[in-house]
Amino acid sequence: MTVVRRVSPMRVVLYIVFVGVLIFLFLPLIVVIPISFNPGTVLRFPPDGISLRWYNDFFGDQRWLDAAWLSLRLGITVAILATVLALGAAVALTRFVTVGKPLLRALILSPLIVPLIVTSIAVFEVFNELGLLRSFWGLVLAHTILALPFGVIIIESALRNFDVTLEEAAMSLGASRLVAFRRITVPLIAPGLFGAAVIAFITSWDEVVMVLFVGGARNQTLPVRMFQFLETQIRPTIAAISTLLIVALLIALVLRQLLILRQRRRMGSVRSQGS
Amino acid sequence: MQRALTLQKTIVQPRTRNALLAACLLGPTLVLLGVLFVYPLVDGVLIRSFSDPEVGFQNYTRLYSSVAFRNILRLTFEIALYTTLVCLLLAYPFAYFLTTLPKRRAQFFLALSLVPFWTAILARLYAWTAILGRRGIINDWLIEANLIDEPIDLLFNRTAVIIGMVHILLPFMIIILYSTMIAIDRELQDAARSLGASGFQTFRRVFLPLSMPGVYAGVLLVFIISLGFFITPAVLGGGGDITIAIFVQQQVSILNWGVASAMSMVLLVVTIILFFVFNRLFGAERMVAGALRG
Repeated sequence: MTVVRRVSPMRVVLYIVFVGVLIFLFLPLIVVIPISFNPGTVLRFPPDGISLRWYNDFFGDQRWLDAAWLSLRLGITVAILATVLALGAAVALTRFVTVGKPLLRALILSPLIVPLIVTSIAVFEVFNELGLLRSFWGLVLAHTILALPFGVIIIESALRNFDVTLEEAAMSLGASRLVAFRRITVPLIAPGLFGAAVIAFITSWDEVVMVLFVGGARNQTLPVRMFQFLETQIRPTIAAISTLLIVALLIALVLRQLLILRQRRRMGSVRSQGS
Repeated sequence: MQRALTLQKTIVQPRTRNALLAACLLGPTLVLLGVLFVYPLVDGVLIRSFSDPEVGFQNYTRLYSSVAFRNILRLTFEIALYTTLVCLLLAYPFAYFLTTLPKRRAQFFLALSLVPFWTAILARLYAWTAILGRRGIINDWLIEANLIDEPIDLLFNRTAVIIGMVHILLPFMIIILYSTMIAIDRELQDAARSLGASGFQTFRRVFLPLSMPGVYAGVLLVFIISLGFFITPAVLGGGGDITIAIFVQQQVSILNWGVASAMSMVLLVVTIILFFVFNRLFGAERMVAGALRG
């Protein structure tokens, strides 16, 4: 517009830093994928040939599959539990709580602030007393605590952007409070709920420290097994797993983008209908 | 009639009913946090640090009097500081460059720079061991190019830890800086230019001061998160690189719970103090954007 762009030396430097940072950020992803197809145990980049040996290592080993399955179950359970709890807390905080709101929010956000290692050693004794140590549900609760703050913040902001008069209109038309909430509010804040669930899943899926402390040897999640494998071996099996994780992530991101585009198009068509 | 009744019910909201509803909605969350988070922190860390194995300050005095303790603190702070500075040095020009791009393209590159951010941390750590290791890619290339005869040690040292941590934390810094920078009114810079300021002067006297809140927020946030890192130094660091978090884990593994708790208290108190500063200056909300991946 009013800014005249000319190629100054400053601009060149900026450009180089920009490209450099992008390369740095993507380097691990770019490197891992070819390594995973490398036939030999010794790392070669670019690889000497193509082999699915390390994928075989993963899919042929029940311990790896068990770890992945445990992570998946854990992540989904945490996503559901954390989203439900966060929805309740967020509704209460935005609508009903009048006294002590800052304190309550500080309490709910505090698991973000306390370093994971501190939380991990703190809960050990209580988990032990409650019989949660080395159990699936213990891990679910531990990860739910970590995921709650994100969920509450995300759903709270969805609720704040939500027009309460819509719910009031439904109630004035005879819907009970619960029905109005379920049929009007929940569908309209669904993107927020979904976002909260996704973040909760990722929080659990990628968490290592708490599982190491309270999970015990029997509950080896995928990242924990990867962590322990990395400490003892240099086999590129992890490269294959990492590639699978990266590809899954990329698929998820593309799907998300498609969903957003579709939603935008639908919104666009609604708007054009209205005009 | 029925309708009128419902209407009346929704308009008249007795306070007690709201309080009850709030209690029902918040209850499960508060019980969970109370029993499995707050109580453990008080009982399992704070009280334990003064009572295990016996009542007194001995855990703290033991920590304070040992040379190792001071080295551990210094190392943890040093790593956090370098990580923060490198993040700032890389993220600032990156975010600034983004603000000069057309909006669509800027958003695309911002989204692109967040792809690694969502990638599993263990996958990234493995990649760094494959890149930096003695039989890793860099050594392989250097040997093949006849630049070195023996592989050099790039892994299991402080630099490797900082590289790994920067890679994890850089996206936070980019998001915070970009969101501050994009809110800066471009017309202010245009005005400075039209009044005769050079490009650099405009940057230094107009843009830089206006972007400083983002810089402070990003620096503080990245520093706070860095202090608690455990997995990254454990995988990429050498045996001698003991950070606070690794020390705590080591003490627990030899069942030295008292000392582990005391060290945890040190980390917790430092974190909380820094967080209060952050909260005072920027509000807790922004913490969330960042703490997304601890």
